[in-house]
Amino acid sequence: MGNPNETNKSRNVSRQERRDFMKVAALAAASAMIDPLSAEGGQSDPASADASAAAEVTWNKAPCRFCGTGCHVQVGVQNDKVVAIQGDQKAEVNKGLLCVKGYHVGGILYGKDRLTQPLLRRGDSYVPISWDEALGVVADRIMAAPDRFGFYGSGQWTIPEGYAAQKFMKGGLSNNHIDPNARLCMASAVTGFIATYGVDEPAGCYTDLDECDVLIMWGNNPAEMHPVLFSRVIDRRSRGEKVTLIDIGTRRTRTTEFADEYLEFAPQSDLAIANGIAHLLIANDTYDKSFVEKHCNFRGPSDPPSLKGEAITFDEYKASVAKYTPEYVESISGVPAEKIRMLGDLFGRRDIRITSLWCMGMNQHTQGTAINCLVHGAHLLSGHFGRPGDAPTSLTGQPSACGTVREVGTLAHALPGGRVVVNQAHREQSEEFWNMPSGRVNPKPGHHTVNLWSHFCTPKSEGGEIDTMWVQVTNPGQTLPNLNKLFNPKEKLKEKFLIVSDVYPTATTRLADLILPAALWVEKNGVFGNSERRTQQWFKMVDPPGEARDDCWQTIAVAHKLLERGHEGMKDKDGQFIFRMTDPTGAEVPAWKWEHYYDMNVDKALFEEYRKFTTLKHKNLAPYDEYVKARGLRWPVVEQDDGSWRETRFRFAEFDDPFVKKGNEFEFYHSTTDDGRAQVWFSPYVDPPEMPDVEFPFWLSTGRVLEHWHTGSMTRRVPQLDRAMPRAYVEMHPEDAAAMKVENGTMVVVESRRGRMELPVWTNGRGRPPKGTVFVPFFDETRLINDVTLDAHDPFSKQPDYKKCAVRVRRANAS
Amino acid sequence: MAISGLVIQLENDPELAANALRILEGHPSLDFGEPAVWSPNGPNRVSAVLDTADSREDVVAFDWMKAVAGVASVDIVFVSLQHSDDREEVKS
Repeated sequence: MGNPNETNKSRNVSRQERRDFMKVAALAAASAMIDPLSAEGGQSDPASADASAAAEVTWNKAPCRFCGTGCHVQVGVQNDKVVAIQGDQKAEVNKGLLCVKGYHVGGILYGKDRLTQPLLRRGDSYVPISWDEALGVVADRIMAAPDRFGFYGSGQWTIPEGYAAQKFMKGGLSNNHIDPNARLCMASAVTGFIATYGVDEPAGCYTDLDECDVLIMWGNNPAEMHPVLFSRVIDRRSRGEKVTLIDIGTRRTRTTEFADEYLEFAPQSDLAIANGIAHLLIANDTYDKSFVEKHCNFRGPSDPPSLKGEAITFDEYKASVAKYTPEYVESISGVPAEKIRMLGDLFGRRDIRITSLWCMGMNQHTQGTAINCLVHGAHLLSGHFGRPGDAPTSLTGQPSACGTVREVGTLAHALPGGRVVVNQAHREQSEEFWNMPSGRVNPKPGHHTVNLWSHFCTPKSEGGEIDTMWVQVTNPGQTLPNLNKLFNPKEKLKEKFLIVSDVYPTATTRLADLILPAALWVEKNGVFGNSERRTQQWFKMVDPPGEARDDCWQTIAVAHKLLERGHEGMKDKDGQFIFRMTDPTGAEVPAWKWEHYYDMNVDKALFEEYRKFTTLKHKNLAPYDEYVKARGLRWPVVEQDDGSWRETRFRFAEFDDPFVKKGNEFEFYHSTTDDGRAQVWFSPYVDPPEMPDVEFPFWLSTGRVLEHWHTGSMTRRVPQLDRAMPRAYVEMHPEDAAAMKVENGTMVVVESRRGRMELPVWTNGRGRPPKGTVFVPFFDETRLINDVTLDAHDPFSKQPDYKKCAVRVRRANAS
Repeated sequence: MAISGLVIQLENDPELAANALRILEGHPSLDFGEPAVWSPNGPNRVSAVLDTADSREDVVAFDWMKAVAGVASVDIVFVSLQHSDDREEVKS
């Protein structure tokens, strides 16, 4: 069932009429951007631009498929095809604006090489098989060894997809070996929030970007990675508002071009900078004593290490940060002492509002949890917290890393609603909600991403614990670090079986034994959760091509196939299928059969079931139908006396958060110390596990580019984006290039202890690394830089560090 | 992309902006919203639609527009995916 409000308005019109209509619609959209009031209700409605031609196109809302910003688009559909995209002016996130990827998001559906039928490997080639055969193959593999099966998911899973996978694994198979690619992008933010506040996800929201006086970007390049959010800040400047931008980075980027201050630091030394701020706040007596006394505790590292750490006194904390004088921080980071003082002075001011922004730079870090905690600490210590514009805020790279991974809990240790498998009460709660027998949920955490793939790529005879892996909505053959250890060995391990559900051939399908064609974006119903806790819903608008089918259906269908083969875990306490669906009359809908999947709204049924979990840790969601009406709502969403549902913009603050007791001003109601207080952490600077040396003298940092989304499997199939950024490159400092006698376009080899990659040099390009550092984007499937990167990871979040390892660079044709 | 809705930001200098508009209006693939007249007291942004055959022509047109003296920026606000000759093209 797609949008029930949609009707088929197709009619025959000539090509030229359609073209003229689209031109009128395009002009209407552009005019409305200049003067939103010129369009009724403030929303440009292309369908009203030409009444006679409008009948052929229907428009509907959807969140963009790409990053975690959560922009809404209006999708124009004609004859079961997406034909146009425009920014949604009713969306608070983007107010009608989109980035270059967003305007082309519809094009991702129409690459010629869409996967359209299940394919089974036979030797070096694939043979098409039926869906029933494919489901049987998956079921056979799982039945053969249910505890040696792993499910690798995604922050691009919709919430219902992730919830179904979570229930299938932990409630059905009693198997916790499920982990998502989000482990690679925001796990350190999660552990940082939990260690500081006792509960995950930002307290603030994008309004902070509209209200701050100072925006500090920690290893963050929002001008390219979250351009719509960055434009909110730049637009303020164009309106004459004063916003100071401080870019703390390891290479100059497009963001730097807008910055008032650029502080270039040696990789890993952000830890020292954050400690330096804390030291100055105390040394200058400018920390917020009242806020600290009422709302904060102090913690330091514990032995053994834990996210709760060890209690320390303020004096012990003061003594710990005392050595981080501006001069000492300069000696570690290379940032001039006066710039450290500038940061300390800014945090010490009460008359301004400061927002910190970060994403992969702080998260993909072997001390990712520590640096997250230290930045939260700078805000708490200075009292720059909880007022609009005063916030430490992490961004996510995927559209539902928050919604599906962090909230549904599709991680090896987690359960929905902020619960964990090691806690008996939490397991019992899940079993109750799922109507599962007691003891169904396994208390032992599964393998996190790096270990999961390490076990999959290790022979059983050598201790490899995973034989079969199912990948949905992600591309680990390109994104895992150190691919020569964590992915490529699979090619020679014939005992291992890789199942990949995807929309296009990728670096991952290359080694797949079974490929399952998937539906993409508006080819299915969906719900995402963005970076600011905003839950966003959309309806299916077009049919997927060929036999491509929803990932959620694939999970349910495999579960039913297991039920047919007698797997007891696929039954609940009453002997019913764990994904039993019923229509409003109570009659069962066989949703495991594709022809019946859209007889009802399966997304809605799963969402309503999942919603029960969300009240357990104050992440309350509204009923599904509320999201149909809205351009997303930020949780906690709480029902009001009049029956309406109210979202929350600022958590832990009495003025906005309904769960803060009246009179408390601020309350951290999931405090790890059970006293309503947040934790200000001390963590020392420590060297990264691999640093440049004589043999490998350069730092390598990797990342994304504006035109492509992550591995480029979608955006590289959009001609406009592919032409704009066709191939990966290595950014070098001009003096490094000159010393090697190479110039723009010269092919060089970037080589680490783990692998090598040949790339053309780019100096003085979009990004400008300092001497001794090179940068390579990871979007290019033909140049897999993760053959080179390091799989060392943070001890708490288990998130790998893609931002620093040691490499050498030489001319490609040199010996 | 073939059909694109654009917002063109002009420089604040009235003479420069008016001259830029005259040049832009001469482009055979550009149509402007009403009123496409820059005035010192009005907004210095104009709406336009670019109608080309494919992304190659788009790139040429965008580069040309951005190079016109008096044009501060060109933002795409609408894209029709259907009306492009290269829509079915696939990466190698």
